[in-house]
This record gives sequence, C-alpha cells and structure tokens, in this order.
Amino acid sequence: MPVTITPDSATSTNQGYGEPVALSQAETVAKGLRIEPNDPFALKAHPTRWSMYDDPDTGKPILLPVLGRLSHSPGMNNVDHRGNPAMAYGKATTDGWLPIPSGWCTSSDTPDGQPGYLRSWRTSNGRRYYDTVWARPYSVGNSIFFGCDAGYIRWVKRLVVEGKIPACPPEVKDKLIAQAEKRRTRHLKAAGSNPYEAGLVKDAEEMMERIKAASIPGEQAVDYGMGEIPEADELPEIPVPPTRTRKAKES
Amino acid sequence: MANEHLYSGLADLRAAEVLSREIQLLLADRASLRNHPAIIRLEGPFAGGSTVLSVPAVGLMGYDEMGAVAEGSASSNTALTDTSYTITLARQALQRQASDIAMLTQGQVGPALLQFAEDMVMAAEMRLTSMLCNVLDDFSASVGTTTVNLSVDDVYDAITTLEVANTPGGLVSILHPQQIADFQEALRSEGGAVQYLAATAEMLAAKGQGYVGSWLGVDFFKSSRVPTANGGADRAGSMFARGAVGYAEASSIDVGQLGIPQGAFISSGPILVEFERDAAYSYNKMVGNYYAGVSLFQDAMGVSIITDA
Repeated sequence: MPVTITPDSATSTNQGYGEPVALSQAETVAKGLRIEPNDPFALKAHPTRWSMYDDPDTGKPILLPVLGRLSHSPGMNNVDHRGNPAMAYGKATTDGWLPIPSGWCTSSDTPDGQPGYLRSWRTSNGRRYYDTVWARPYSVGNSIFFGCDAGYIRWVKRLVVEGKIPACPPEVKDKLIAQAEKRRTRHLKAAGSNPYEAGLVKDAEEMMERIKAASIPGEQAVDYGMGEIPEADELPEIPVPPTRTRKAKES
Repeated sequence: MANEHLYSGLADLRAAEVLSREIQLLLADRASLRNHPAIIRLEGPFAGGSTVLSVPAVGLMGYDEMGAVAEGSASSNTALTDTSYTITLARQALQRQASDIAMLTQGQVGPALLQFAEDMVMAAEMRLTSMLCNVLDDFSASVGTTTVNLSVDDVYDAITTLEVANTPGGLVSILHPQQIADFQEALRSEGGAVQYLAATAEMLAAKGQGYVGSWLGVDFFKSSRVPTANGGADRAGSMFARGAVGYAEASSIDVGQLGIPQGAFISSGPILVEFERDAAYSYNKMVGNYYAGVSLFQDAMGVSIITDA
C-alpha cells in the first residue's frame, strides 16, 4: 500500500505533495534523513560569485549568482550567544554580500507552494537538517540524495531580472571566457598523445562557446568613474632633449 | 527416537540472542579539522569579560613600500592600515539521558556512563569541524561550474586565484567526499607533467576519513560536513591559506567559578561534562558543554570550490 505524506508547514518534511511516494521517500520520513544535522541559514549574494547555469525554460546558458549561506547558529561568523545574527549581517554587508530576505521567495517560486526558501527535515538522530526548498533531500539506505528542483534557477533568475540582485558585471564573463581558454590551451599540449586530454580540449571549447553565448539577465552599463587629473606639481617634468643642428657640409 | 534435547525445544533454558561484548561503531565521518596549522586557534575572551574576541590585523612588514623623495623635498605621511576580525563565542552542547534501569541492565555491554562522557570529546570536535565547513563555503571568490564534476582544472583555478591574491604557501583544501572522488577520477586520466608525480599516484590510493593527501603543495581533506549549494545540486568546498579562517574556544572552564560540586563533572580542557541526577524519575543526565566560535578572517586568502554533488 503506498504511503501518502503531506507537508505540514513551511519547515515540513517536504516529501511528496499529497501523492503516493516511493519507498525512499517513505523511509526518509519514517526514519529521518541519514545526514549530519546543521543549522538554519539565510542566503546571500556577492558581486564576484557567478557561474553558468542552464536556463530551465529556454535550455540556453545563463550567468547567475552563486549564492552563499549566512548561518544563524550561535558562534558562527559572529552570531551571538543568544542567536542574534545582527553582527553577522553587518559584517557580511561590509564584505560586499547582499543578504536575501526570505520574503523574496514567494509561494509561486517553491515546489511545495509555501513562501520562503528555507526548509528543515528530521534527521535520524532526532535533530534537524536545514536546506533550501529546492534541495529536497531523501535517504536510501545509508546514502543521501538531493532532488535539486529546477525552480531554484528560475527563482534566482527572477531576482536578477527584477534588479533585487545586481546584474553580473561584464568583467566576470570575460574572466570566465579567459579561464576556459586557459583550460583549452593546457589540454591541447597533451591532446596528441592522450585521447582523454583531446576530449577535454573539446569540452573547454564548448564551455567557451557557451559562456560567450550566455545571457546576462538585468545587464546594464556600468559607470566605473574616471581617475582624477594629478595636480600640476605631481606631473613629472619631461626634460626636453637639446636640439641638434646638422652642420652644413663644408664644401 | 523421541525426547531428544533440541535447541528449538529449550525455550526456557536458552536465550533468543546474546549481546556481543564488542560493540561496533556506526559508520560516521569522525575526521576533525581542529588541529590543522592553517586554521588559526585563539584563546576565548571570557576572562576579559566578553563573549566577543577581536583579532587586530595591521599592515606592517612590507604592506606599505617606501616612495622616492627628491633631494630638497619633504617626505609625507603614509597612513597605517589596520582592521580587525571578530569571533563570537557561543555554547555548543550535547545531552544524553538514561534511566536507572537502562544503566543497571547494561551488564558488560554498555555503553557505560564514562563512554558517554568520552563521546562528548568527539562530539565537540565534530561540532567545530561542522562550524568550520559551514563558514569556509563563504569566500567571495569561487571556482567550479554548477552540476559539473570537480576537475583538475578547477583545482588549478583555485590555486591560481590564491596565487594571484598573493596568499602565502601552505594551502589547504577541504572538499566533500564526492568532490574528492571526482577529483581522483579526473586525476586518473590526467596527462602532462603531473601524471608522473608520485603525489598524483598517492592521491589515487583508497582513502579513509579526513586527510587524503598533498598534491601540488595543497593539503586535501574530505568532510561530509561540507554544505550543499545551488539548491542541493552542488557542494561548496574550499581552498585557503593560514589567515583565512580562525576559531576561538574557552580553553578551560573554571569549574570553581561556576560553583559545581566536586564529583559531578569531568573537565577536560575546553569541554565540561556534567552529571545530573533526577531522583524522582530515576534519570541520569549527562550534558557536555563547549564554548566556541568560528569566523572568516581575510576573505582574499580563500576560494570556494563549488561543483556537482
């Protein structure tokens, strides 16, 4: 008889949505996840952390931010002994990170139709494991697997398109292209004698083309400003060389 | 024949099962990162009257170079660059509770109270390792491609990023076991100069937990506590040099100051294990306390390695 499991809240088990579930899902709920418990966190974006993703709607490459985590656990990155993360948020902001409020994730962004991006699952030792709603972890025996819902990419893309996360600076794309070019050159050296390396050359070339073709949602021209003109006394005086006059040939 | 003495007929004389005196440990990642020299360890600030430790950093020893001054001109002041990093300590704890009957029937099998107390030491080590892994994924520089297995190129990219940032040597990389497995897979087919290195062959050998080898001057560790990234699609490992991350812990808890009666505790360095008796319920409670904090220091001294899980 199939086991039917429904989520109970925004921090539910998130296994199945009122439909019959597979044995692995039933096992996850009955015994808890076979994974080390962790702590709740917020997501954050940094202007230098970008990677190429496949747009789930168009199938085309797209540059999106690689989000980091801002732990809310006492003792981690300046979260205080009462669990107040104010200092942690202050430090992250000073370092250029943009904390992403849970409210930026609406019910239409998540696979379980609940707002907010954080969910928790019970672990096999009775504690909690926290991850994003799109991760959807489940246990099979001693192994842990993740569902990786494509809605995550749609959500991050929406945040960039709507300007909530500033768009990818053009230099990042150039840097990724240069990185792929460097890989291609390195593998090219051994490609003649090693078929595996020859395959990597092809991979690097494909990667390079994909990065070049990747769209940058929300792209805008960046004004970097101009340097200041040095004061007159800062400008080096360039000595004028003495002029040489050619002596007229004596006839 | 009749009335033979068969095992199946001796229900009152034989036990259904007997517990072995040797207990097996359940499989878990028990590798600790606590004592690696690349991770800065500091004394907790409790004695100074705070839970927050501020670690100053100053731009000396060549941070500012001299400038040329022409004869007859005056030199001008150069500002001293300084900053500080903070670590906030907080309580980390593990509690166990056993009834009298559970303890009295342990016989020679256990686990006994003392084993629970010893377990607190490893529980604290694992908590610190978990805290370290969960801040090490937060460097603003990152390498790797989402949903693509970790490759030798990703490791080169990480090394290059840190070299360009002028980090000192002694690099350490902490990766998820899946990332290490992908790295080994990539190394098996690696061409070029590194295929002949002894370290390359060493890296391919089957590994246990924790330290997995040194390759191109980088110490590699694996930990299943390395967190996920990109909606569970990836794992966020790291590579860093000494100065990127640090932790502080209350190195010894002053039991006298807490006023705990003798015999009710075991104090072992930073870990304090206390025993509590609830006579009404005949419960025996063991609580291990450990006060620690972990923080990223110099962001430019590390790089996150985010690849397929």
